[in-house]
This record gives sequence, C-alpha cells and structure tokens, in this order.
Amino acid sequence: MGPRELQAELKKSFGDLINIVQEEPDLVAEIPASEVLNIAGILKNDRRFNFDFLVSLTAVDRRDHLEVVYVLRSLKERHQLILKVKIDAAWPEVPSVASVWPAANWDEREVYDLFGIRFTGHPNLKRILLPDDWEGHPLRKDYPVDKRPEKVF
Amino acid sequence: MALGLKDIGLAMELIRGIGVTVRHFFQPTVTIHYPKQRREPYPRFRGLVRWDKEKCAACVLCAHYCPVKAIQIVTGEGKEGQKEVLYYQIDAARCMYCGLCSEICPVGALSHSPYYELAVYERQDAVYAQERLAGEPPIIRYR
Amino acid sequence: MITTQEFHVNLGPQHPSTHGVLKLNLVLDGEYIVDCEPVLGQLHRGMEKMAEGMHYGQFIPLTDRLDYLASAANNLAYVLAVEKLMGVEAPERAKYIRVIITELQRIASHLVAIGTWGLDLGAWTVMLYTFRDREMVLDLFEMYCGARLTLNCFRVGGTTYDFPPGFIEKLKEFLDVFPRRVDDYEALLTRNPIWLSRTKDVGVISAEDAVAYGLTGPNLRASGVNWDIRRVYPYEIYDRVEFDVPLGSRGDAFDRYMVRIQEMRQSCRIIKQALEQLPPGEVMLDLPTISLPDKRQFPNNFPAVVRHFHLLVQGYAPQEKEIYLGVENPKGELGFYIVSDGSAYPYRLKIRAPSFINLQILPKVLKGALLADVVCILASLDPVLGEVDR
Repeated sequence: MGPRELQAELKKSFGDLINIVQEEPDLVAEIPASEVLNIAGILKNDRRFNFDFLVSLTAVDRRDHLEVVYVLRSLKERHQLILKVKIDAAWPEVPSVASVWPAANWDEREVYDLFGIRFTGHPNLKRILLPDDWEGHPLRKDYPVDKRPEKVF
Repeated sequence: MALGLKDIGLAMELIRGIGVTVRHFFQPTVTIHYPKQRREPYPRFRGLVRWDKEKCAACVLCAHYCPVKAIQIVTGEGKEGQKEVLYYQIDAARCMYCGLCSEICPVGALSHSPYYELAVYERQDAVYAQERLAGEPPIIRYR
Repeated sequence: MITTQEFHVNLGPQHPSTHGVLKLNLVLDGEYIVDCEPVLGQLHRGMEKMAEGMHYGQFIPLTDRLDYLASAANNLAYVLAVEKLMGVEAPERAKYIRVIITELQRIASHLVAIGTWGLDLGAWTVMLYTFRDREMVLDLFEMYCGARLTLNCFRVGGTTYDFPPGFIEKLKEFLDVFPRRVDDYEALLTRNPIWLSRTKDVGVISAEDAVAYGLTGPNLRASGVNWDIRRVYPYEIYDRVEFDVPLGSRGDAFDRYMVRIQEMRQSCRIIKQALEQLPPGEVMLDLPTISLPDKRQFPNNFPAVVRHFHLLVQGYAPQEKEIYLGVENPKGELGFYIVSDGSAYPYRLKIRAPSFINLQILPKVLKGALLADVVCILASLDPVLGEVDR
C-alpha cells in the first residue's frame, strides 16, 4: 500500500483518534496514549495494515511534553508508518506494546532508562544501558551534557 | 570396528581442509616482521596531524569544528597588529584521526603525516604543542 | 543425600568469545541453560546525547564508532538519512563510489564474523585466512581515504574523495582473487564434520520469531524471510545492479553461516557491476547550502571564503520535520530517526542499532541449549558491542 492509500485507510478505520501530522517524506500519525494498545493490536492483526514488524521504538523530549515514537513496518505490504503518542512530562506513563511486538522489550527498557518513561505492563522494566543506581535520565533536555556522576563506577 | 562409507566421506572432508592448508603453505608469505620491517603507508594515510605555523591564518576554524575538541589555539596580536597564533596544540590522545580539520582548513596549514607509532608512557607526551608539531615524532620503545 | 541446584555462570565481559564487553548471566541446570540475562551498557558513550550538540556534518566521524567493523556502512546510513532530511541527492559517481566502498565493507565485516566464529569453535585456520583477506580490503580503504578501520569518507551530498590512481586496478585484482578465497573457507568449513555438528540445528530461530523479535540482516534471512532493504526499498544504485538475496531455510547457526558466505559472493557481483557502470563526473554536490566551496579559489574569491566559514560555523539547517531511514548494514538494518527543529543541530537523533535488536532474541534461543553452544549461538548472531551500547 502506498502512503496515500495507507493514510486514507487509517482515517477510515480510526477516524478522529488518529491525527496525521506529517505526510512528506515519511507518514507520521499521532494517537492518544489511552488507545495505544488497542490501536497497536488492530494495526498488527488487521489484514489491511498488517504491521508485523516493529522497526524501532523511541522517545522525544519536547520540553513541555514527551513523545513516544513507534516506527512500524509491514513486511508483506511493504509500507511504513511512524506513530507518535504524546504524554505528560509530569506523569510519564504509557502502556507497553511488548505483548504485541516482542521486539519492543529492550527498546522500552532503553526509553525507560534514558527518558524515564514508565511502560505499564512491561515484563521486566529496569535500566538496560546505565547502571541501576544512576541518577536522572540523560536524554531529557534538562539533563546537562557535561554532567558527570559523583559516584565512580 | 569396520570403517563405513560415511567415515570415509568424513575423512575425505578433513583431507580437503588440510589440502587448503598445504596449498597455502607453498605460497609467498603475506606477513611482515613488524618492528624490523615496515610497510610504507599510502599517500592519503591519515596519521598524526601536523601544523604549519607559516601558513596558518589563525582563523580558529579547526578548533571550533573538531568533534572531539582535540585542538587548542590561543590567538593574539602580532607585532604589526595582525592576528597571530600564540599557542597551538593537538592532543593526539583525544584525536580520532577523522581528517575533518585538514579537510576544512582554508589555507592548508593542517595536514596528515604518515606517522602512526604514537604510543607513549605519560599522557602529557601525547600532547603535541608548538615546536613538537614539526618534524618526526619520537617513537617510544617499551622499557 | 544428593541434592541438585541451579548453577550461575557469568560469561564475560572479558571473555574473548563475547566479541566485546557483553556480559551474560547464565543459569544452568547441569549442562543446559535455564535462563540467560544479557547485561549491556559497558561501552555506553551517549552517542545520541552527543549528537544533539553537534552539527549534522560533525557527527559523521562518530557514526564510525557504532559498528566499528563496518564503519563506511554506518557513514552511508547517516549521510543518506541527512540527505533525506535535507531533500538532496548525491551525484551519480558518488553513489557508485559509496556502493563499492560499502560492499567492500560488507565483505570485511562478514570475514570477521566468520573468522572469529571459527576461532570460537576451535577452527584457527579460518581466522588466519579471513583476516589475511580482510587485510586486502583494509589496504584498499587506506588507499581510498587514508584510514583502515574508521573511514569517515562520506559527506552529506557526496563523498570526500574520488578513487585515487591505481585503486580500480587493485580492486579488480582483489575481485579476481576473492571468490577463490571464499572457496577455500568453504572447503575448510561448509562440509567439515566438526563444523557441521557444532552448527547444524543449533540456535534455531523460526521465521515467526525472527520477525516478532525484529531481527534484520543475515539473521532474518537465515530464517527464510526474504527481506533485504537493498531489494525492497532500493537506495543509491541497488535498483541498477543484479544480485540475489541468499536465504536460509531452517534458521539454525549453519544457515546464518551460509547466508554470510553467499552474501560475500553477491557483494563481489555488485562491485563488479558497479565498476562496469561507474560514470565519470563530480563526487560532491555543488550546492551552496551544504557543500564546501573549492579551496583553490580561496584568497581571492571572498564570497566563497565567507560561505566556507558560514557553513562550518553556522552549519546548515534542514526544515522542521522528522524522518526515519534504514539501510542494509552487514549486521542488519541500521536506521536513523532524526527530528529536526529547524536549527543546525539535530533535536533528537535515534540510532536503530541492528546488533542491539538482534541480541534481544538471545535469551529465548539460549533456553534449553547446551553451555558449549552459547559461544556458537552468540557468534552466529554476530553482535558488535560498539553498536549495542552506543
């Protein structure tokens, strides 16, 4: 499916829940945090979308809010979609999609590690790259680049 | 224990593997005896960065653009009021030999030398400043 | 009275067969593995945070340090991502040069993968031969750009250098010799009974699991999934050259070995065709917004000097948008997700590292395997820790 057809199909299936924010060069859509698991399940299992491959899961700190970004792909239909979820910086919590795409497991741990976003329902949510007792979340914009830990590991 | 057809097949495969070794045994060696023999690097080889005081225009572009900030420059006013470099140093321990500085230098004052044996015992020996930036760097042998 | 209990073994981070600083916490029941937990992050350098404080052009040498066995391929992925963000395209000759260098890099990377894998399983000879032939590739790189491992040779809008005189002859010499060398590795390994018993039916990954866990590259294709980004979303000149995508059928370690061997032959084929089609022309785009002016006109042409300084001090700023671009690296799909806020610095740069995601399936594959096979399975997934930890 081409990006235009995919966009039309997404609008038809989800209506107001989905909000297309960018068309060129990559299709980017935004969905509310409460519907993540629901929409992810449909996107994966529905024959029209068939997004069976989670390419990447990451987050962006927009200063006033956080965004969780899912890059999805269908190996059969060969289309690609970037899905975004806006979440509150004060209470960063979003449902985990590790049950839909097992590939999300380590990516979600990485986002938890570097951004401090909690993924509810994740099987093993703990830090992956940094030591367990590291303070702060380095990829947040308010974390200074030159900050060094007081404790030497 | 009688040898079956399968065992002979397996032995054949092992002999084929040994055949490769034997064939290579009679080919010329590709290795060199390193400290005694040395291979000449190719002309574009990116070794230790050298700085030419005569050519330098003191524009500080290299220090600004270096991704790992291995270059330090102090500029000041010369005798005739022109901008001049007072101090220049390259920290070879920080430098990652990416070649960006010599690529962007507008006057060609920075270049890559073919020197690559840069191991030192003390950290400060890896800092190449002022007069150490010309000529051959000393090769430090193990004690 | 006899009691049994589970036994904990730490493999790594200083174990030679973990191919870097990977630590595996293994729980054993006798010789069998009950549970495995990889411990990552010992090589974490915060690349993504560093990128936020650098110009787009300044980050290129740091991408060398991701998968340090395939640095040119990382350069290509990053450069293509920034080109997509800027909406520019490199000149034809540069595209061919990039493909030739990255395919050479793929050969070099697979040679290390197979050589060290053989070394891990006790086949010393293969490692010596693969490293000898990798040396020929590295010599070509040194001739082309002056570095052997961390090349840093591609730029946004082209490449730094054209091929030096004598390079193409040397490359052709390598292409003549190399297929015979691959035959030698095959003679040593492919039907060797010891190699077969160590790799056949070891670490089987089904096609469904491979897709669900996000595997890419040779590891995915060994499970029989026909997915090669060079074929599906052709970038550069891959739509103009003929090559096969080698596939496995069972998804065991032996299939992953065979896929790598055949990919090296296909890379040779791609380079041969690219050399035939290599067009003359410029290797760097002449676009005032991104490419540096020619230095030869410098002292006199004042506007060019101003442009030179402006580009290096201010940088170039793409429009406000976000893109994802993945390319087929030797290890799998290396992707860059870049968010631009309209300034000269990336607002967010996420590296989708293939080794990191490929390693994720390890605990699942290792469950029930023998302790002696851990080394084999790990080597068959071919992780590079510089990329896992970033």
